[in-house]
Amino acid sequence: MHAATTASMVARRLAAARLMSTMPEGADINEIRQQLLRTALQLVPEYSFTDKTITEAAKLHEYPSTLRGLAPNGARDVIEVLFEDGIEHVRQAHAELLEQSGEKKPGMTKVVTHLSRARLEYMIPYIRQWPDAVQLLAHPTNVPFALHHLHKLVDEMWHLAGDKSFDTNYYSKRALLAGVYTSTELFMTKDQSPGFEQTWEFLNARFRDSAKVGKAASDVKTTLEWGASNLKGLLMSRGIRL
Amino acid sequence: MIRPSSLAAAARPLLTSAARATPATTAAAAATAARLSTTRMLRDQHDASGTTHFGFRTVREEDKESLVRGVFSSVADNYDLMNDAMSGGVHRCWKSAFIERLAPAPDTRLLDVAGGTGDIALRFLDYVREQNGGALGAAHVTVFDINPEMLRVGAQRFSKLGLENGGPHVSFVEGNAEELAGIEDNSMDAYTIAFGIRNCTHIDRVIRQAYRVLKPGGRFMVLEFGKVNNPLLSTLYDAYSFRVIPHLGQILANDRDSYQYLVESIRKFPTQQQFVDMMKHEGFQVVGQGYEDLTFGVATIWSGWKL
Repeated sequence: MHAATTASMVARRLAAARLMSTMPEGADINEIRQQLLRTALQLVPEYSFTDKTITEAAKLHEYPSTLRGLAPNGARDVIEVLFEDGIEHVRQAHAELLEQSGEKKPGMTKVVTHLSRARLEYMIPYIRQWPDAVQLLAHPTNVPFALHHLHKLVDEMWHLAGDKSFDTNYYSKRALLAGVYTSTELFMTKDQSPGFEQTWEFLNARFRDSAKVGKAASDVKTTLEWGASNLKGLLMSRGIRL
Repeated sequence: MIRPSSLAAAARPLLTSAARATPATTAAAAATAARLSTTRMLRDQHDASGTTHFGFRTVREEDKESLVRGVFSSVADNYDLMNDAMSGGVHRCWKSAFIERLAPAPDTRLLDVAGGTGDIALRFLDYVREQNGGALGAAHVTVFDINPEMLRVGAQRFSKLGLENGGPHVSFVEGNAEELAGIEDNSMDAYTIAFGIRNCTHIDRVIRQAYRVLKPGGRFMVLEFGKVNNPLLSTLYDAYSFRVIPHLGQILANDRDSYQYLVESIRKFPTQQQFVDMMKHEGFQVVGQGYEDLTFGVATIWSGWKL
Protein backbone atom coordinates (compact mmCIF):
# COMPACT_ATOMS: atom_id res chain seq x y z
CA MET A 1 0.00 0.00 0.00
CA HIS A 2 2.70 2.41 1.10
CA ALA A 3 4.89 1.61 -1.88
CA ALA A 4 1.94 2.07 -4.22
CA THR A 5 1.14 5.45 -2.68
CA THR A 6 4.71 6.61 -3.06
CA ALA A 7 4.78 5.43 -6.65
CA SER A 8 1.58 7.31 -7.42
CA MET A 9 2.97 10.42 -5.76
CA VAL A 10 6.10 10.27 -7.85
CA ALA A 11 4.07 9.79 -11.01
CA ARG A 12 1.88 12.70 -10.03
CA ARG A 13 4.78 15.07 -9.40
CA LEU A 14 6.35 14.10 -12.69
CA ALA A 15 3.12 14.66 -14.53
CA ALA A 16 2.69 18.01 -12.82
CA ALA A 17 6.24 19.03 -13.63
CA ARG A 18 5.57 18.21 -17.25
CA LEU A 19 2.42 20.31 -17.19
CA MET A 20 4.19 23.13 -15.42
CA SER A 21 6.72 23.45 -18.19
CA THR A 22 3.84 24.08 -20.54
CA MET A 23 2.38 26.88 -18.41
CA PRO A 24 4.10 30.03 -19.62
CA GLU A 25 4.36 33.18 -17.56
CA GLY A 26 1.84 35.87 -18.39
CA ALA A 27 -0.27 33.29 -20.20
CA ASP A 28 -3.87 33.80 -21.11
CA ILE A 29 -6.23 33.23 -18.22
CA ASN A 30 -8.30 30.67 -20.12
CA GLU A 31 -5.22 28.57 -20.93
CA ILE A 32 -4.20 28.62 -17.29
CA ARG A 33 -7.71 27.63 -16.28
CA GLN A 34 -7.63 24.63 -18.64
CA GLN A 35 -4.19 23.59 -17.36
CA LEU A 36 -5.33 23.92 -13.76
CA LEU A 37 -8.38 21.74 -14.39
CA ARG A 38 -6.36 19.11 -16.30
CA THR A 39 -3.87 18.89 -13.45
CA ALA A 40 -6.79 18.65 -11.02
CA LEU A 41 -8.18 15.76 -13.06
CA GLN A 42 -4.85 13.95 -12.70
CA LEU A 43 -5.08 14.38 -8.94
CA VAL A 44 -8.59 12.89 -8.77
CA PRO A 45 -7.30 9.41 -7.76
CA GLU A 46 -5.81 11.07 -4.68
CA TYR A 47 -8.39 13.71 -3.71
CA SER A 48 -11.48 12.53 -5.62
CA PHE A 49 -13.91 14.99 -7.18
CA THR A 50 -13.63 17.70 -4.53
CA ASP A 51 -12.63 21.35 -4.33
CA LYS A 52 -9.43 20.23 -2.63
CA THR A 53 -8.34 18.61 -5.89
CA ILE A 54 -8.33 22.03 -7.54
CA THR A 55 -6.58 23.71 -4.61
CA GLU A 56 -3.86 21.05 -4.68
CA ALA A 57 -3.51 21.45 -8.45
CA ALA A 58 -2.99 25.20 -7.95
CA LYS A 59 -0.27 24.47 -5.39
CA LEU A 60 1.49 22.07 -7.73
CA HIS A 61 1.70 24.87 -10.26
CA GLU A 62 3.14 27.04 -7.49
CA TYR A 63 0.14 29.34 -7.51
CA PRO A 64 -1.80 30.45 -4.41
CA SER A 65 -4.74 28.20 -3.59
CA THR A 66 -7.08 31.12 -4.27
CA LEU A 67 -6.51 30.31 -7.95
CA ARG A 68 -9.27 27.78 -7.27
CA GLY A 69 -11.62 30.69 -7.99
CA LEU A 70 -10.90 30.09 -11.69
CA ALA A 71 -13.22 27.10 -11.28
CA PRO A 72 -16.29 28.76 -9.78
CA ASN A 73 -18.29 25.52 -10.00
CA GLY A 74 -15.65 23.59 -8.06
CA ALA A 75 -15.32 19.88 -8.85
CA ARG A 76 -18.03 20.20 -11.49
CA ASP A 77 -15.58 22.14 -13.64
CA VAL A 78 -13.12 19.23 -13.32
CA ILE A 79 -15.87 16.84 -14.40
CA GLU A 80 -16.57 19.07 -17.38
CA VAL A 81 -12.95 18.71 -18.53
CA LEU A 82 -13.26 14.95 -18.10
CA PHE A 83 -16.40 14.98 -20.27
CA GLU A 84 -14.81 17.16 -22.94
CA ASP A 85 -11.62 15.10 -23.10
CA GLY A 86 -13.85 12.00 -23.13
CA ILE A 87 -15.45 13.14 -26.40
CA GLU A 88 -11.96 13.66 -27.85
CA HIS A 89 -11.02 10.17 -26.69
CA VAL A 90 -14.07 8.67 -28.42
CA ARG A 91 -13.17 10.44 -31.65
CA GLN A 92 -9.63 9.05 -31.51
CA ALA A 93 -10.92 5.54 -30.77
CA HIS A 94 -13.15 5.86 -33.83
CA ALA A 95 -10.26 6.96 -36.05
CA GLU A 96 -8.19 3.99 -34.84
CA LEU A 97 -11.06 1.60 -35.44
CA LEU A 98 -11.42 2.82 -39.02
CA GLU A 99 -7.69 2.40 -39.55
CA GLN A 100 -7.75 -1.18 -38.26
CA SER A 101 -10.81 -2.13 -40.29
CA GLY A 102 -9.14 -1.04 -43.54
CA GLU A 103 -11.36 -1.37 -46.58
CA LYS A 104 -14.26 -3.02 -44.82
CA LYS A 105 -16.42 -0.43 -43.07
CA PRO A 106 -17.58 -1.62 -39.62
CA GLY A 107 -21.31 -1.82 -38.99
CA MET A 108 -23.17 0.68 -36.88
CA THR A 109 -23.68 -1.65 -33.92
CA LYS A 110 -20.03 -2.63 -33.94
CA VAL A 111 -18.90 1.00 -33.91
CA VAL A 112 -21.23 1.96 -31.09
CA THR A 113 -20.17 -1.04 -29.00
CA HIS A 114 -16.51 -0.32 -29.62
CA LEU A 115 -16.83 3.36 -28.76
CA SER A 116 -18.81 2.65 -25.59
CA ARG A 117 -16.06 0.33 -24.41
CA ALA A 118 -13.38 2.87 -25.33
CA ARG A 119 -15.18 5.57 -23.36
CA LEU A 120 -15.49 3.26 -20.35
CA GLU A 121 -11.80 2.35 -20.55
CA TYR A 122 -11.07 6.05 -20.50
CA MET A 123 -12.79 6.14 -17.09
CA ILE A 124 -10.49 3.52 -15.50
CA PRO A 125 -8.17 5.99 -13.65
CA TYR A 126 -11.14 7.76 -12.06
CA ILE A 127 -13.64 4.93 -11.74
CA ARG A 128 -13.16 4.36 -7.98
CA GLN A 129 -13.87 8.06 -7.32
CA TRP A 130 -16.70 8.25 -9.87
CA PRO A 131 -19.50 7.65 -7.31
CA ASP A 132 -18.51 11.00 -5.73
CA ALA A 133 -18.97 12.65 -9.11
CA VAL A 134 -22.33 10.93 -9.65
CA GLN A 135 -23.47 12.21 -6.29
CA LEU A 136 -22.41 15.72 -7.25
CA LEU A 137 -24.13 15.49 -10.63
CA ALA A 138 -27.31 14.29 -8.96
CA HIS A 139 -27.70 17.63 -7.21
CA PRO A 140 -30.78 19.32 -8.74
CA THR A 141 -28.78 22.31 -9.97
CA ASN A 142 -26.36 19.98 -11.79
CA VAL A 143 -28.86 17.65 -13.48
CA PRO A 144 -29.25 19.77 -16.65
CA PHE A 145 -25.45 19.89 -16.91
CA ALA A 146 -25.16 16.10 -16.50
CA LEU A 147 -27.87 15.32 -19.02
CA HIS A 148 -26.45 17.82 -21.50
CA HIS A 149 -23.07 16.12 -21.46
CA LEU A 150 -24.56 12.63 -21.55
CA HIS A 151 -26.56 13.64 -24.61
CA LYS A 152 -23.43 15.11 -26.22
CA LEU A 153 -21.60 11.82 -25.68
CA VAL A 154 -24.23 9.48 -27.09
CA ASP A 155 -24.97 11.88 -29.93
CA GLU A 156 -21.28 11.88 -30.84
CA MET A 157 -21.16 8.08 -30.78
CA TRP A 158 -24.19 7.71 -33.05
CA HIS A 159 -22.88 10.43 -35.31
CA LEU A 160 -19.50 8.67 -35.66
CA ALA A 161 -21.30 5.39 -36.28
CA GLY A 162 -22.93 7.08 -39.27
CA ASP A 163 -26.44 7.45 -37.94
CA LYS A 164 -28.43 9.95 -39.97
CA SER A 165 -31.90 9.35 -38.59
CA PHE A 166 -34.02 12.35 -37.89
CA ASP A 167 -37.31 10.63 -37.11
CA THR A 168 -38.47 9.37 -33.72
CA ASN A 169 -35.67 6.78 -33.89
CA TYR A 170 -33.31 9.67 -33.26
CA TYR A 171 -34.59 9.90 -29.70
CA SER A 172 -35.02 6.20 -29.00
CA LYS A 173 -31.52 5.42 -30.23
CA ARG A 174 -29.99 8.05 -28.02
CA ALA A 175 -32.08 7.08 -25.04
CA LEU A 176 -31.14 3.41 -25.50
CA LEU A 177 -27.43 4.10 -25.73
CA ALA A 178 -27.56 6.54 -22.81
CA GLY A 179 -29.22 3.83 -20.73
CA VAL A 180 -26.69 1.18 -21.72
CA TYR A 181 -23.74 3.46 -21.17
CA THR A 182 -24.70 4.88 -17.77
CA SER A 183 -25.82 1.58 -16.30
CA THR A 184 -22.55 -0.04 -17.38
CA GLU A 185 -20.54 2.86 -16.00
CA LEU A 186 -22.30 2.50 -12.68
CA PHE A 187 -21.68 -1.27 -12.70
CA MET A 188 -18.03 -0.58 -13.43
CA THR A 189 -17.55 1.53 -10.27
CA LYS A 190 -18.15 -1.62 -8.20
CA ASP A 191 -16.40 -4.10 -10.52
CA GLN A 192 -13.38 -5.75 -8.86
CA SER A 193 -12.75 -8.37 -11.57
CA PRO A 194 -9.29 -8.31 -13.22
CA GLY A 195 -9.25 -6.09 -16.28
CA PHE A 196 -12.89 -5.18 -15.64
CA GLU A 197 -13.93 -8.41 -17.41
CA GLN A 198 -17.35 -8.41 -15.78
CA THR A 199 -17.96 -4.87 -16.97
CA TRP A 200 -17.36 -5.82 -20.59
CA GLU A 201 -19.69 -8.81 -20.17
CA PHE A 202 -22.29 -6.54 -18.66
CA LEU A 203 -21.89 -4.08 -21.53
CA ASN A 204 -22.32 -6.79 -24.17
CA ALA A 205 -25.39 -8.15 -22.41
CA ARG A 206 -26.95 -4.68 -22.41
CA PHE A 207 -26.30 -4.31 -26.12
CA ARG A 208 -27.85 -7.75 -26.78
CA ASP A 209 -30.94 -6.58 -24.90
CA SER A 210 -31.24 -3.50 -27.00
CA ALA A 211 -30.70 -5.46 -30.21
CA LYS A 212 -33.76 -7.52 -29.32
CA VAL A 213 -35.66 -4.32 -28.86
CA GLY A 214 -34.38 -3.10 -32.19
CA LYS A 215 -35.80 -6.23 -33.92
CA ALA A 216 -39.18 -5.52 -32.39
CA ALA A 217 -38.98 -1.92 -33.44
CA SER A 218 -42.20 -2.26 -35.40
CA ASP A 219 -43.88 -3.03 -32.13
CA VAL A 220 -44.20 0.55 -30.96
CA LYS A 221 -45.53 -0.43 -27.57
CA THR A 222 -42.52 -2.59 -26.73
CA THR A 223 -40.09 0.06 -27.81
CA LEU A 224 -41.80 2.71 -25.75
CA GLU A 225 -41.98 0.50 -22.69
CA TRP A 226 -38.36 -0.46 -22.98
CA GLY A 227 -37.34 3.11 -23.55
CA ALA A 228 -39.34 4.29 -20.56
CA SER A 229 -37.86 1.69 -18.23
CA ASN A 230 -34.42 2.47 -19.52
CA LEU A 231 -34.92 6.18 -19.02
CA LYS A 232 -36.13 5.50 -15.53
CA GLY A 233 -33.02 3.46 -14.79
CA LEU A 234 -30.91 6.19 -16.28
CA LEU A 235 -32.45 8.89 -14.12
CA MET A 236 -32.16 6.73 -11.03
CA SER A 237 -28.51 6.08 -11.77
CA ARG A 238 -28.12 9.86 -11.80
CA GLY A 239 -29.62 9.94 -8.32
CA ILE A 240 -33.15 10.98 -9.21
CA ARG A 241 -35.73 9.09 -7.19
CA LEU A 242 -38.86 8.04 -9.07
CA MET B 1 -33.68 48.02 21.66
CA ILE B 2 -30.42 47.50 19.86
CA ARG B 3 -27.51 49.28 21.44
CA PRO B 4 -25.34 51.21 18.98
CA SER B 5 -22.18 49.65 20.44
CA SER B 6 -23.33 46.10 19.69
CA LEU B 7 -24.19 47.17 16.19
CA ALA B 8 -20.79 48.71 15.80
CA ALA B 9 -19.31 45.34 16.56
CA ALA B 10 -21.62 43.54 14.19
CA ALA B 11 -21.38 45.40 10.96
CA ARG B 12 -18.83 47.17 8.89
CA PRO B 13 -19.91 50.50 7.50
CA LEU B 14 -20.77 50.92 3.88
CA LEU B 15 -18.95 54.19 4.04
CA THR B 16 -15.35 53.28 4.64
CA SER B 17 -12.60 55.78 4.82
CA ALA B 18 -11.01 56.96 1.65
CA ALA B 19 -7.49 56.86 0.39
CA ARG B 20 -5.44 59.88 1.24
CA ALA B 21 -5.36 62.24 -1.69
CA THR B 22 -1.79 63.10 -2.46
CA PRO B 23 -1.25 66.75 -3.23
CA ALA B 24 -1.06 66.67 -6.98
CA THR B 25 0.64 69.29 -8.99
CA THR B 26 -1.16 70.43 -12.09
CA ALA B 27 1.52 68.83 -14.25
CA ALA B 28 1.23 65.47 -12.53
CA ALA B 29 -2.52 65.56 -12.82
CA ALA B 30 -2.25 66.47 -16.49
CA ALA B 31 0.15 63.58 -17.07
CA THR B 32 -2.21 61.23 -15.28
CA ALA B 33 -5.12 62.45 -17.32
CA ALA B 34 -3.22 62.19 -20.58
CA ARG B 35 -2.05 58.63 -19.89
CA LEU B 36 -5.49 57.49 -18.97
CA SER B 37 -7.50 59.35 -21.51
CA THR B 38 -8.17 56.10 -23.34
CA THR B 39 -11.37 55.41 -21.54
CA ARG B 40 -14.27 57.73 -20.96
CA MET B 41 -14.44 56.67 -17.37
CA LEU B 42 -10.97 57.89 -16.64
CA ARG B 43 -11.68 61.24 -18.19
CA ASP B 44 -14.66 61.36 -15.91
CA GLN B 45 -12.65 60.70 -12.79
CA HIS B 46 -10.05 63.41 -13.24
CA ASP B 47 -9.38 66.18 -15.64
CA ALA B 48 -6.30 68.20 -16.45
CA SER B 49 -7.17 71.00 -14.06
CA GLY B 50 -6.58 68.75 -11.02
CA THR B 51 -10.16 68.40 -9.94
CA THR B 52 -12.18 65.35 -9.02
CA HIS B 53 -15.72 64.72 -7.93
CA PHE B 54 -17.17 64.69 -4.46
CA GLY B 55 -20.62 63.31 -5.01
CA PHE B 56 -22.01 65.51 -7.79
CA ARG B 57 -19.80 68.43 -6.85
CA THR B 58 -16.47 69.09 -8.53
CA VAL B 59 -13.72 69.73 -6.02
CA ARG B 60 -9.95 70.09 -6.09
CA GLU B 61 -8.18 66.73 -5.79
CA GLU B 62 -6.40 67.67 -2.60
CA ASP B 63 -9.69 68.59 -0.97
CA LYS B 64 -11.47 65.29 -1.52
CA GLU B 65 -9.73 63.46 1.29
CA SER B 66 -10.71 65.98 3.95
CA LEU B 67 -14.23 66.17 2.58
CA VAL B 68 -14.58 62.38 2.72
CA ARG B 69 -13.08 62.43 6.19
CA GLY B 70 -15.73 64.99 7.15
CA VAL B 71 -18.42 62.61 5.95
CA PHE B 72 -16.96 59.82 8.02
CA SER B 73 -16.58 61.70 11.23
CA SER B 74 -20.07 63.08 10.97
CA VAL B 75 -21.77 59.72 10.38
CA ALA B 76 -19.38 57.48 12.35
CA ASP B 77 -21.57 56.77 15.35
CA ASN B 78 -24.56 55.84 13.25
CA TYR B 79 -22.86 53.92 10.43
CA ASP B 80 -24.10 50.51 11.29
CA LEU B 81 -27.61 51.51 12.15
CA MET B 82 -27.78 53.38 8.85
CA ASN B 83 -26.29 50.55 6.83
CA ASP B 84 -28.90 48.16 8.09
CA ALA B 85 -31.69 50.71 7.77
CA MET B 86 -30.80 51.65 4.20
CA SER B 87 -30.11 48.21 2.80
CA GLY B 88 -32.59 46.26 4.90
CA GLY B 89 -29.65 44.23 6.19
CA VAL B 90 -28.83 43.00 2.70
CA HIS B 91 -25.28 44.37 2.92
CA ARG B 92 -24.51 41.44 5.24
CA CYS B 93 -25.53 38.99 2.50
CA TRP B 94 -23.40 40.83 -0.04
CA LYS B 95 -20.35 40.59 2.20
CA SER B 96 -20.91 36.91 2.85
CA ALA B 97 -21.32 36.24 -0.87
CA PHE B 98 -18.12 38.19 -1.46
CA ILE B 99 -16.08 35.89 0.81
CA GLU B 100 -17.76 32.78 -0.58
CA ARG B 101 -16.63 33.80 -4.08
CA LEU B 102 -13.11 34.26 -2.78
CA ALA B 103 -13.27 30.80 -1.13
CA PRO B 104 -10.08 31.28 0.91
CA ALA B 105 -8.01 28.30 2.07
CA PRO B 106 -6.08 27.75 5.33
CA ASP B 107 -2.91 29.02 3.63
CA THR B 108 -4.41 32.23 2.23
CA ARG B 109 -2.77 35.58 2.99
CA LEU B 110 -5.35 38.29 2.47
CA LEU B 111 -4.96 42.05 2.30
CA ASP B 112 -8.28 43.73 3.11
CA VAL B 113 -8.04 47.39 2.18
CA ALA B 114 -10.39 49.97 3.66
CA GLY B 115 -11.13 47.11 6.01
CA GLY B 116 -11.54 49.39 9.06
CA THR B 117 -13.61 47.59 11.61
CA GLY B 118 -12.69 44.15 10.30
CA ASP B 119 -16.03 43.03 8.95
CA ILE B 120 -14.57 41.36 5.84
CA ALA B 121 -11.56 40.09 7.80
CA LEU B 122 -13.85 38.39 10.31
CA ARG B 123 -15.89 36.74 7.57
CA PHE B 124 -12.65 35.60 5.96
CA LEU B 125 -11.41 33.89 9.14
CA ASP B 126 -14.87 32.43 9.82
CA TYR B 127 -14.97 30.94 6.34
CA VAL B 128 -11.53 29.33 6.70
CA ARG B 129 -12.42 27.95 10.14
CA GLU B 130 -15.66 26.49 8.85
CA GLN B 131 -14.04 24.84 5.82
CA ASN B 132 -11.03 23.60 7.75
CA GLY B 133 -12.68 21.75 10.62
CA GLY B 134 -12.45 24.63 13.11
CA ALA B 135 -8.77 25.42 12.59
CA LEU B 136 -7.36 28.60 11.11
CA GLY B 137 -4.20 26.97 9.79
CA ALA B 138 -1.85 29.61 8.42
CA ALA B 139 -4.64 31.93 7.29
CA HIS B 140 -3.70 35.56 7.76
CA VAL B 141 -5.43 38.85 7.05
CA THR B 142 -3.89 42.31 6.98
CA VAL B 143 -6.55 44.92 7.65
CA PHE B 144 -5.45 48.12 5.96
CA ASP B 145 -7.20 51.43 6.45
CA ILE B 146 -6.43 55.13 6.34
CA ASN B 147 -8.54 55.89 9.39
CA PRO B 148 -6.89 55.02 12.75
CA GLU B 149 -10.21 55.26 14.59
CA MET B 150 -11.70 52.49 12.50
CA LEU B 151 -8.61 50.32 12.93
CA ARG B 152 -8.79 50.76 16.68
CA VAL B 153 -12.41 49.60 16.71
CA GLY B 154 -11.43 46.61 14.54
CA ALA B 155 -8.47 45.66 16.70
CA GLN B 156 -10.63 45.78 19.83
CA ARG B 157 -13.27 43.65 18.21
CA PHE B 158 -10.70 41.03 17.20
CA SER B 159 -9.03 41.15 20.58
CA LYS B 160 -12.34 40.20 22.22
CA LEU B 161 -12.38 37.12 19.99
CA GLY B 162 -8.87 36.17 21.07
CA LEU B 163 -7.21 37.33 17.86
CA GLU B 164 -4.47 39.76 18.77
CA ASN B 165 -3.22 42.47 16.45
CA GLY B 166 0.16 41.30 15.16
CA GLY B 167 -0.63 37.69 16.13
CA PRO B 168 -0.53 34.73 13.74
CA HIS B 169 -3.82 35.53 11.99
CA VAL B 170 -4.39 39.28 11.87
CA SER B 171 -2.58 42.58 11.75
CA PHE B 172 -3.95 46.10 11.46
CA VAL B 173 -2.01 48.57 9.33
CA GLU B 174 -2.71 52.25 8.81
CA GLY B 175 -1.99 53.67 5.38
CA ASN B 176 -3.13 54.94 2.02
CA ALA B 177 -4.63 52.52 -0.51
CA GLU B 178 -2.97 54.50 -3.31
CA GLU B 179 0.47 53.70 -1.89
CA LEU B 180 0.17 50.55 0.25
CA ALA B 181 3.39 51.54 2.01
CA GLY B 182 4.93 48.67 3.97
CA ILE B 183 3.23 45.95 1.91
CA GLU B 184 5.82 43.98 -0.06
CA ASP B 185 5.60 43.29 -3.80
CA ASN B 186 4.20 39.85 -4.68
CA SER B 187 3.32 39.08 -1.08
CA MET B 188 -0.46 38.55 -1.02
CA ASP B 189 -2.69 35.70 -2.25
CA ALA B 190 -5.75 37.90 -2.36
CA TYR B 191 -6.72 41.56 -2.14
CA THR B 192 -10.21 42.65 -1.15
CA ILE B 193 -11.78 46.08 -0.88
CA ALA B 194 -15.45 46.34 0.08
CA PHE B 195 -17.38 49.59 -0.22
CA GLY B 196 -14.14 51.53 -0.03
CA ILE B 197 -12.73 52.11 -3.49
CA ARG B 198 -15.53 54.53 -4.36
CA ASN B 199 -14.16 56.99 -1.84
CA CYS B 200 -10.60 56.91 -3.15
CA THR B 201 -9.38 59.89 -5.15
CA HIS B 202 -7.39 57.92 -7.76
CA ILE B 203 -9.04 54.58 -8.41
CA ASP B 204 -6.41 53.68 -11.02
CA ARG B 205 -3.60 54.07 -8.47
CA VAL B 206 -5.45 51.83 -6.04
CA ILE B 207 -5.75 49.11 -8.69
CA ARG B 208 -2.09 49.49 -9.67
CA GLN B 209 -0.99 49.02 -6.06
CA ALA B 210 -3.21 45.96 -5.74
CA TYR B 211 -1.46 44.50 -8.77
CA ARG B 212 1.94 45.25 -7.24
CA VAL B 213 1.36 43.48 -3.92
CA LEU B 214 -0.39 40.38 -5.29
CA LYS B 215 1.54 37.19 -6.03
CA PRO B 216 1.29 35.74 -9.53
CA GLY B 217 -1.99 33.84 -9.44
CA GLY B 218 -3.31 36.23 -6.79
CA ARG B 219 -6.88 37.46 -6.90
CA PHE B 220 -8.18 41.03 -6.79
CA MET B 221 -11.74 41.40 -5.58
CA VAL B 222 -13.88 44.49 -5.25
CA LEU B 223 -17.31 44.78 -3.65
CA GLU B 224 -18.93 48.09 -4.48
CA PHE B 225 -22.23 49.64 -5.46
CA GLY B 226 -22.88 49.00 -9.14
CA LYS B 227 -25.44 50.25 -11.61
CA VAL B 228 -28.96 48.83 -11.80
CA ASN B 229 -29.57 47.93 -15.44
CA ASN B 230 -33.24 47.04 -15.40
CA PRO B 231 -34.99 50.32 -16.34
CA LEU B 232 -38.00 49.79 -14.10
CA LEU B 233 -35.95 48.77 -11.08
CA SER B 234 -33.48 51.53 -11.76
CA THR B 235 -36.27 54.12 -11.58
CA LEU B 236 -37.35 52.72 -8.24
CA TYR B 237 -33.76 52.55 -7.04
CA ASP B 238 -33.13 56.18 -8.01
CA ALA B 239 -36.29 57.30 -6.28
CA TYR B 240 -35.27 55.40 -3.17
CA SER B 241 -31.72 56.73 -3.29
CA PHE B 242 -32.50 60.39 -3.80
CA ARG B 243 -35.80 60.72 -2.02
CA VAL B 244 -35.62 58.23 0.84
CA ILE B 245 -31.98 57.83 1.86
CA PRO B 246 -31.20 61.53 2.53
CA HIS B 247 -34.35 61.72 4.64
CA LEU B 248 -33.34 58.58 6.51
CA GLY B 249 -29.99 60.27 7.11
CA GLN B 250 -31.78 63.32 8.42
CA ILE B 251 -34.04 61.36 10.74
CA LEU B 252 -31.71 58.65 12.00
CA ALA B 253 -28.36 60.42 11.99
CA ASN B 254 -29.41 64.06 11.84
CA ASP B 255 -27.05 64.49 8.88
CA ARG B 256 -28.62 64.89 5.48
CA ASP B 257 -25.55 66.03 3.57
CA SER B 258 -23.42 62.99 4.32
CA TYR B 259 -26.03 60.62 2.99
CA GLN B 260 -26.60 62.86 0.03
CA TYR B 261 -22.86 62.36 -0.64
CA LEU B 262 -23.25 58.60 -0.31
CA VAL B 263 -25.94 58.30 -2.99
CA GLU B 264 -24.21 60.77 -5.29
CA SER B 265 -20.83 59.05 -5.02
CA ILE B 266 -22.52 55.77 -6.01
CA ARG B 267 -23.80 57.41 -9.21
CA LYS B 268 -20.35 58.79 -10.02
CA PHE B 269 -18.63 55.42 -9.65
CA PRO B 270 -17.77 53.69 -12.97
CA THR B 271 -20.20 51.25 -14.51
CA GLN B 272 -19.55 47.53 -14.21
CA GLN B 273 -17.89 47.38 -17.63
CA GLN B 274 -15.89 50.57 -17.16
CA PHE B 275 -14.41 49.20 -13.96
CA VAL B 276 -13.49 45.92 -15.71
CA ASP B 277 -11.69 48.02 -18.34
CA MET B 278 -9.79 49.85 -15.62
CA MET B 279 -8.73 46.52 -14.07
CA LYS B 280 -7.54 45.22 -17.43
CA HIS B 281 -5.71 48.48 -18.04
CA GLU B 282 -3.61 47.82 -14.94
CA GLY B 283 -2.82 44.24 -16.02
CA PHE B 284 -5.50 42.10 -14.39
CA GLN B 285 -7.10 39.29 -16.36
CA VAL B 286 -10.74 38.34 -15.90
CA VAL B 287 -12.86 35.24 -16.48
CA GLY B 288 -15.97 35.86 -18.56
CA GLN B 289 -17.35 39.37 -18.12
CA GLY B 290 -15.30 39.93 -14.98
CA TYR B 291 -18.08 40.93 -12.60
CA GLU B 292 -21.16 39.56 -10.94
CA ASP B 293 -24.20 41.65 -10.02
CA LEU B 294 -25.86 41.15 -6.64
CA THR B 295 -29.45 42.28 -6.08
CA PHE B 296 -29.91 43.47 -9.70
CA GLY B 297 -26.62 45.36 -9.68
CA VAL B 298 -27.23 47.47 -6.59
CA ALA B 299 -23.97 45.88 -5.47
CA THR B 300 -21.40 44.25 -7.74
CA ILE B 301 -18.44 41.93 -7.21
CA TRP B 302 -15.53 42.47 -9.59
CA SER B 303 -12.81 39.87 -9.77
CA GLY B 304 -9.47 39.84 -11.57
CA TRP B 305 -6.31 37.74 -11.54
CA LYS B 306 -2.68 38.68 -11.72
CA LEU B 307 -1.13 36.01 -13.93
